[in-house]
Amino acid sequence: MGGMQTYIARRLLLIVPTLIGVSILIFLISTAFSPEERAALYITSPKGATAIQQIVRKYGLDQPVYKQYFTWLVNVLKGNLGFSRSLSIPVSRAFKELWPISVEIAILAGPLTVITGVLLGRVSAVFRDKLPDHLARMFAISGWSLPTFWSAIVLLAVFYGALGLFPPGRLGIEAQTIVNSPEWIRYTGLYTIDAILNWNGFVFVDALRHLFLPVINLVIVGNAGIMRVMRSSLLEELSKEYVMAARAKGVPEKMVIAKHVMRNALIPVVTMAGVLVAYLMTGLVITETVFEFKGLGYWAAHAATQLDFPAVLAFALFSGVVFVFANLIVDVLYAYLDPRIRLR
Amino acid sequence: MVRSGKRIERVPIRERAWFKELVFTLRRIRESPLSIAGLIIVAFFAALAALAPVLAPPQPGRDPFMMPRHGYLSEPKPPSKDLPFGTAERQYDMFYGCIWGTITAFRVGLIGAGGAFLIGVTVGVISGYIGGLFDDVVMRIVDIIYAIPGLILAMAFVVAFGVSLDNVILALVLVGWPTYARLSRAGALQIKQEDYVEAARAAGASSFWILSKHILPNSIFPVVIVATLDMGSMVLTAATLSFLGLGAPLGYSDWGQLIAMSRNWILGKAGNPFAYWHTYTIPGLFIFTFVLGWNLLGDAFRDILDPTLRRR
Repeated sequence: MGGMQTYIARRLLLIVPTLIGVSILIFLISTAFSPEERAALYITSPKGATAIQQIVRKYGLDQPVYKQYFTWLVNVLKGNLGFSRSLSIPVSRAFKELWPISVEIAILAGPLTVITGVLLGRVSAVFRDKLPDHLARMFAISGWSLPTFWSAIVLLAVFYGALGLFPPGRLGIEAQTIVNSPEWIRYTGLYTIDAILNWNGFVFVDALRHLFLPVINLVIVGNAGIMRVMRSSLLEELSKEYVMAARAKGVPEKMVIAKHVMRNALIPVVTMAGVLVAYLMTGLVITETVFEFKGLGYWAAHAATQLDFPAVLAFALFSGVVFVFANLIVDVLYAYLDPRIRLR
Repeated sequence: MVRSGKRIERVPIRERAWFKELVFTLRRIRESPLSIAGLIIVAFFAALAALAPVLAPPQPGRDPFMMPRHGYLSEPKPPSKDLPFGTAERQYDMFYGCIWGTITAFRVGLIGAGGAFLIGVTVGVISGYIGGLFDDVVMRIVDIIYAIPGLILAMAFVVAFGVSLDNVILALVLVGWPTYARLSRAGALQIKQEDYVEAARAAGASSFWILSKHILPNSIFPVVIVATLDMGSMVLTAATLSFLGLGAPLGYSDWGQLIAMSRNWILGKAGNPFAYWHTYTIPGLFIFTFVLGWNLLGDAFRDILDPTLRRR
C-alpha cells in the first residue's frame, strides 16, 4: 500500500495551489465593490456597521490589492467571513446554523441519485436499442433538460397544491412546536436523525414528508448524468473478452452482469461523484428556494437578490472548497479501485 | 511565404478534408431520428424568434422586449381568445413574453457560448502551441474556475457586476471559457506534433501562420460542436439566474422571469388548485423544449463525432 500513500500525499499537495487560486478569485470578485461596501466582509456584529470608516482603515481597504488579499485571507482562515445583511448575523454563524438543513437533503438525494442512475443505466445497457433502452434514454435526456426550478414548481403545484401531500418548508406547525419545546434535545440539527434519537415518530414522519419533494426534485434531474455514464461504461465492459469467456463457459447472463461486469462498470461512475457534489450544491440553491427549505442554498439565493455579497462570496468559497475536497476523495477512491492510476 | 502558401492550397472545396467531414456528419445526422427531432425543435424556435415581430407585434415607440400589460390587477388571467397564453402576475402578456423570450434565449445562448468559444479557443490554442509557463498559468486558471460550481460562480459574478441581463451573459462567458480552452489546447498539443506542422516550421512559417492555417482549422471542429451543445446549458443557467431575480429587469421578455412571476400563484385558488396553471406551465415548457432540442442535437453529435464510434 506504499504506492497509495504517496499518491494521496501527492494529490493533497496538488490541491493547495487550487485552493489558493480559488481564494484569490473570490477576493478579486469582491474588489468590484467599494472599500466602504467591502467593510461588510470584516464586520462581525451589527454594532460594527456604525464604524465603517474605522474598519476601512483597520483592515487596510484603501491599501494596494495584494496587501488587502493577505489581510482578508488571514481573516477567512480565522473563520471570520464577514456579516450577512440578509440574515443580520455573521456569515460564519449562518454556516453553523444552516448546514444541517442542507445536509439533510443532500445525504438523501445524493445516494438516491446514484442508485437510480445506476439502475437506469443498467436497464438501458442490458436492453440496448430495445424499448426499455429508448425509454430510459428519453427519461435521462429529459431530466437533463429540465430546469430544476420549474420541476420543483410543478411538483409543488401537484403534490401540495392539488393533493396536499407534501408541504413546503422543513416542518409543520405541530412538529415545529415539539422541536422548539424544552424537552426536545438537539443532537445533530438534522430533524430526521434527531427525531429518531428523541424517539419521536411524529416529528420523524413530518420531517420526511417535507423532505420528500426537494429530494425527488434533485434526483429526477440529477440521475440523468449518472445513467449516461453507467450505460456507456456497461456497454464497453460487455464488449470485452472476459464477458465472452464467461458466457462461453455457460455462466447465466444474470450472473455475468451481476458478478462480472457490474463491478468493473461501476468504476467510471465513481468519478461522477465529484460532479454530483457540484450538482447537488447548485441544485440545493434552487430547490431550497422553491420549497422554502431555509438552508444554505436558500440563504445564498436570497443573499444574492439582496446583494448581500459577503454571504454570496462565502458560499462560493465554501462550495469551491467542498468541491475540491470531493474531487480529492473521488481520485483517491478511484486509485484504490483501479491500481493502474496510482502508478502514473 | 504567405503568397506561395496560398497558391499551393488551391484545392477545390469538394476535395477538402473539412468539407468531406461536414458532408459525412450531415449524412449521419439524417440517419438518426433523435438528432432530427432536435433539429426540428431548434428550427422551430429559430422560426419563432425570426417571426416574433409578426406573431407578437410590439407597440410602436416602445422597447420591443418589454412585455405589454393588460391592466393593473395582480391576479393572472387564464388563456383566452385575445390572450392565447393568458397573463402573468400584474397582467403581463404571457404570449408576447414567451415569443420575445425566444429571442432573449437565443441571444443569451449565442453570445454566451460564442463569447466563451472565442476566448477559450484563442487562449487554449495559444496555450497548447507555445506551452511552457504561459500554458501552466492558463491551465491553473482553468482549474480554479472549474473548482467552483458554475451556477454559484456565475451568481457571484452577477452580484459583483450588478444585476442585468448583459452581466448574466458576461458571467456565463467567464464561467464557460475554460471548457473550450481545455478542448482546443488538447487539439493544439496533438496537431503541433504532426509532420506537416514540423514541415511548415522547417520551411520558415511564422507561429501566427502555423496557428491560424494549421492548428486552428484542424482542431476547431469538435470545439464548435461542444459550443452547440453548450447553448442548452447556457440558456438553462441564464433562466435559473433570472428565476432567482438576478437577470433581466422586471417586465423584460424572459422565460425565467415569467416563471419567477408565477411563484405566488402555484397553489391556485381554494377548490381549484390549477387555477393559474398557465403561469408556470407555459414558460416552463418553452425552456424545457428549447434546452431539450439542443441537448438532443448534442447527444446525437457526440455519437456521430466520437472517433471510436463514427465510422462503424
